[in-house]
Amino acid sequence: MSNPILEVKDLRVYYKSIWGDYRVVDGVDLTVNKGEILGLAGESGCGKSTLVEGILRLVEPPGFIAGGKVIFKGIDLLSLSEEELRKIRWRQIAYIPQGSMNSLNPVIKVKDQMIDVMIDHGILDKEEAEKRALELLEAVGLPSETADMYPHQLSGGMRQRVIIAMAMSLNPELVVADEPTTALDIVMQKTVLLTIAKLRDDYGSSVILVSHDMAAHAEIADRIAIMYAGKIIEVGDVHDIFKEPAHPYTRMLIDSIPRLEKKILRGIPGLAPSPLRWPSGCRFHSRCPLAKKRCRYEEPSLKSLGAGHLVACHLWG
Amino acid sequence: MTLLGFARRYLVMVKESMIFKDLSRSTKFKSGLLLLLSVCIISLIGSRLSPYDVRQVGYLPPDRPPTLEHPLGTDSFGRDVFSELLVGTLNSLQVGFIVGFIVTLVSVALGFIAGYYGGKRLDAIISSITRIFLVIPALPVMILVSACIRVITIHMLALIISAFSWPFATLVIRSQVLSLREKEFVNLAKASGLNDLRIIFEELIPNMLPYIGANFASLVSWAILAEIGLGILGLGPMEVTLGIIFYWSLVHLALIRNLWWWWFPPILVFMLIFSSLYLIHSGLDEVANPRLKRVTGL
Amino acid sequence: MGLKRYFAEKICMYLASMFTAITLNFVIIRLIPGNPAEVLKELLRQQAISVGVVEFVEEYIREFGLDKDIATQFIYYLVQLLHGNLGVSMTRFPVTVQELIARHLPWSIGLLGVSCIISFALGTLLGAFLGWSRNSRIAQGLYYLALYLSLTPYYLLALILVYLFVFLIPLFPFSGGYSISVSGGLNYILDILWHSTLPALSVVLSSAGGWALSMRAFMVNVLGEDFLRLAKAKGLKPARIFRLYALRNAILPQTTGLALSIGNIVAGSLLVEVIFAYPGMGWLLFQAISCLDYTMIQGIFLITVTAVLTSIFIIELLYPLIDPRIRYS
Repeated sequence: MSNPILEVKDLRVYYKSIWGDYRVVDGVDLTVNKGEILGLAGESGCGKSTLVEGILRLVEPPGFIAGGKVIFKGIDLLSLSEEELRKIRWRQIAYIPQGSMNSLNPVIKVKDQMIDVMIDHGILDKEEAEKRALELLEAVGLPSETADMYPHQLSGGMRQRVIIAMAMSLNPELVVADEPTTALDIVMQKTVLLTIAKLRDDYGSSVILVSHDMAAHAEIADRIAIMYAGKIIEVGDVHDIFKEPAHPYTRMLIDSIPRLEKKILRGIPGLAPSPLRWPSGCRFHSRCPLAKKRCRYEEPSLKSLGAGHLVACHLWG
Repeated sequence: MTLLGFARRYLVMVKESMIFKDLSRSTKFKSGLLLLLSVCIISLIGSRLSPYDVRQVGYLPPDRPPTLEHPLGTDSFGRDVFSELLVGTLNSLQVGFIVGFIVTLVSVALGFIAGYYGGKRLDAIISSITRIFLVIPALPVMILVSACIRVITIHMLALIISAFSWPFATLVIRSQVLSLREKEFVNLAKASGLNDLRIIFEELIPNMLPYIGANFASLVSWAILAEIGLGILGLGPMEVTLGIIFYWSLVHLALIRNLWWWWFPPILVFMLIFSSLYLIHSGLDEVANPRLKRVTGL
Repeated sequence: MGLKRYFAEKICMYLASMFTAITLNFVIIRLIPGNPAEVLKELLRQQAISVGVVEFVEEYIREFGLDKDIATQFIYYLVQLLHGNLGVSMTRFPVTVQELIARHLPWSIGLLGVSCIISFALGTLLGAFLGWSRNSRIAQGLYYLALYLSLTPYYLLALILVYLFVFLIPLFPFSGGYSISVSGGLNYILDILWHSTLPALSVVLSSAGGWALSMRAFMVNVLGEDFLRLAKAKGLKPARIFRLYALRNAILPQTTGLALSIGNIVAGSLLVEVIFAYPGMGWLLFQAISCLDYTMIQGIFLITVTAVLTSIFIIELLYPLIDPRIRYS
């Protein structure tokens, strides 16, 4: 069944500082299959966004990629030259960034920002690109006047949908959406999520959906990967994970989803550890209610529980 | 609480803050300060020790190139250029520091009244007046004033320069206050019931010290620049300053008569002062905005 | 709607600044001890001008209402200004201030206008490059060069240039704006250019360094913005990212900076003219100061400040053209 389009192997992204390296992404293995929506969940600060930057090779100094491979359709993206990578970007891998409020160029019309990417990838001439831009805006439910507006004239949700329209423009095989719904109101969150799901349904693109919001994953993801302290600690089918979370941390994440019937919200006690010095053993042990002595010294690796369900926890052998 | 007690507590608080620790690590700040202090001390001690009176004209042979006795030769008035330079540097620095202190005080006061203490209406009034004066070029106004008063001392000159240098400094401080007052710790202080004055002196000012210091450094260099500008036009004070040295050497065509020891050393001294102030300024700036160093990588 | 308010605000600020400058000009001149008319008479007497002095001073008193109270004097002064009358030069009587300024102003506008445009364009481009490739060795070397050039004031750079290119290697003339022996035609123009090279160069070198530094800083800021990261993720061609994403946005604060520093550039250039005895406003000012021609100093002040304020005003009026956020808000 598995037909991977993207394989991340032991990816490490560090940040240099005078106190030493911040090991924000510290050896991540991840697979994205063709046509699926993979949810990537975890508290803020666990390295989700940096992992995305690593996959897309958008890490800026003082950050750097300290090791690993990002294999997209058999090619290691990390080994390509800038120009080779440029040709793959957007045409095959599109990106919907976090904080899209400032992700559009404030001095260029929406239309022109949609057209330029089509022209620079040499796919369409200006006239066709303009027509396509209008179609795409319609597809994400924006009026055609939006095309001639500047970003500051649009609301946050509208800007987000402009970027989604932009992401669809070259029918990419993979879309990476980093917290696409933060800073949006509830109604708009739902609209944006459904638009992303539509991307997959209509174009067959694979999607990596990064969000700290477990509800968002429940809504549209096929599989879900949980990240904690720079590592993936559990991966599996979204139903399996919500029904029977294997890792204590995953269980706590799911319990912290606000629900109507619940009176009290349960947060996760304790503070997230610092990437400058990760705890020894299992990185979650200090916050884990089920921690044993072994958890403090020995770091667990990902083990299969069957049906593609992997977990890194000593409770499972 | 007595004033003295308050001052002592205040100093301790500032010393313990992160700013002080960061500053002692900044090479730029330390080397700039060292450079500036040495220029100050050398000119201060040198001008006291110098056996030649720069106010007396004509008792040395004029236009002599450097010798051991006169390391920078003599000028067309028969004065020892080295002594002239020491006194001139000291006086120019004096102008710079007086302007720096006056304008820093005024701009901090105005900046806080406009940005924090005074409320919306007072802010609107202060900032529009500041903006009106900001665009009027300061040097021409100073030229007009100095030309009308004619006979001035270095202290009057410093006052004149101060009178027309506050708008920019005030706007800088005001915008800093505006951005700081939105910060978490200010709300916390407010919630815990501190009154406005205590918030200003205990929360805002300690956090703004690097900005205020950087502002001070650029004011000093601006004032020395203005002093030289007025000096070159023949509007300098009665005492010898760097500007006055340039003026006399220009009037006496030192350039074309190749009396390089007369006009070139003051340029070097000026560049030394200017570079040291720049180092102090950018050292403080980096402490104030740690992002700056990270982003620029320099 | 937003645009209308923007323009209204800028026009108000312009008028307020102009009025403040005129008031300063009127007030400051009264710092001179004594009655202005008496000062004038005394000065003319010192210069042994006798013919027509009494009539002249009477005419002057009548025109500027100097025998009336201070408020009335101010109104007379404003009326005279509106008629373009800046008074008579105290030392070159009976030549009027406006005649003298009209003679010298074109020199300053020519020198300053050209060197300002060149330095702004040059510095901005250099700064854009320095910011864009901020991690390269060349860019870091050029950064320090620009830093030192910008730390050197124009007039000190002028002294050094004179020493190098007039005294050591005699390539350019020491002073003046033209040679007396040359007249008419192409030679005359070439002669003016030859005389203007060094003064222009001191302004260009020093201010281009400053522009490069500020542009570099703005560029570095823009490079950290979210929209630049998206542009990179979009796989746009680097040339497009540079031009339409980085440069296009960094130029906005740079233009605001231009408006704010025009005053300093003009003032600095006045001093450069003094060093080169270049026949512009700075040289006129220098002469007026050395013989205490107050009406002249006042006139030059007013023209300089008007020129500065008007340039700032024009830049501010054009600003919405490059920043759509002001056009539609």
